[in-house]
Amino acid sequence: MSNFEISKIFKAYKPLEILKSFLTALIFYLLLGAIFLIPIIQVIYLYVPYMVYFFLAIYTFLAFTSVYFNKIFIKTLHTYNIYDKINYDKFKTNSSVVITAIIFIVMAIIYIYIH
Amino acid sequence: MKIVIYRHKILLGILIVLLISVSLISFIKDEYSLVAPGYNDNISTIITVDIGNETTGSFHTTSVIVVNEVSLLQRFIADLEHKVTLREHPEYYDYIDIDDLEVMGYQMKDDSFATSLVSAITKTGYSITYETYATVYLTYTYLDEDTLQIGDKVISINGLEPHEEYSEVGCNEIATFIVLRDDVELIFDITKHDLDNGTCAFGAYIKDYTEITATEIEYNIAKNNTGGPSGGLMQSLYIFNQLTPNDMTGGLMIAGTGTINVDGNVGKIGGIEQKIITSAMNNIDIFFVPYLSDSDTDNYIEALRVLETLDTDMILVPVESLDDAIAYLESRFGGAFNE
Repeated sequence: MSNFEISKIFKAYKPLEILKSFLTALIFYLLLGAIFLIPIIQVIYLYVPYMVYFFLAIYTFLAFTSVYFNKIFIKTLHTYNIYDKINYDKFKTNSSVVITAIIFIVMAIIYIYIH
Repeated sequence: MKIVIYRHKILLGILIVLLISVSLISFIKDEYSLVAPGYNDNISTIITVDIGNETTGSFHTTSVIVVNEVSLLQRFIADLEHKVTLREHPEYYDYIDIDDLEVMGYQMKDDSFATSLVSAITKTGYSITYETYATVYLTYTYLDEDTLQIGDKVISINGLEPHEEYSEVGCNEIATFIVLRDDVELIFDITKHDLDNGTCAFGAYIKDYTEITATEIEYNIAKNNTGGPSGGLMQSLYIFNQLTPNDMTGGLMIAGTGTINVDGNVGKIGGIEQKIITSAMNNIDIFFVPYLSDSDTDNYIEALRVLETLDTDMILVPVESLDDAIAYLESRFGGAFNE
């Protein structure tokens, strides 16, 4: 995530606006994540030898969902104000990359622990 | 925040309905259990022996995944998946806390480590001493309250040997149990109940538990998430191979299943179909399996049926004892004590 864009957001918006935008995006992220993860985790028990493919599927889904997370986050920020000095598209891209990397690390730790 | 949520209210509504639906099919339990293919653990990652000789191959236990209470979703998929065995809960499940099955599994696993060490170390000529206690492995809901717990060592029943006296006590009679719990002696008067199915029972499953008291071999057992005693045979083989000069693996991946007792006799196990499938998927070369009778439900007979359906070069070796398994490996890779 570009510190430049994120710091612009923190400077431009009030903390409560950022928090509410984050929570709005989080609601969608958690809903989508839960709808996918809950049944997948149930099914994994029947296909343990293929666990790595399930982990790939979970990672892929969560990565794509993080793009939607950023979209909702920015959309909510826009309801408060839109600032020309902030490159929202650049922020979305970089934020998605960072979130995807974090998801990868978490998934890898979980996979290594299980094995 | 409210504006965005309002604009997406239809989507949110659909997601909430979907979430409720998947939660219902995922968390509502059915009275079935399932057995699914699992994995082959390399025993060297679980047991280490200080005198361990180098090996070119490896020994593996074979674990399956057991889900004691399946969800509706799991049951639906298990019905379609031929590699998974689905079975209705046996009658005794109505009289236990299902979570206790996991505790019992770990206790059986601990016992199997001890019996593996005893059976293997005894064969190598190193010294080992052990004690065996009648121990509570599972309690039932009709057991008298505030009496026996899982893990209790049963010293005597009515002052007599537990296994013999257990069946001698009559229906609705009260017996005096002396048990050891955390090294504290406790005494309970317990009724042998008359059950609806015409049998009588105290409400506790009591079986032998082995503890090693002394050995000249230093060993370490790592904790892992598997339970149950079915790794006994392979654990014994591994330990025996570690303590003898000749490596009997021949560079191969060797797995198997079967309980072991202190005399080196192999016992029957469950989930044989999934264990054969698991091992074939993991490219195991040799698989040892208990062969105790010619009945259709014998582990070896069942294993042969499953093996025929798989595309694998895995060799199935029937055994009744640790000696049989050692004899097979010695016939291929030389005597265990050959330098």
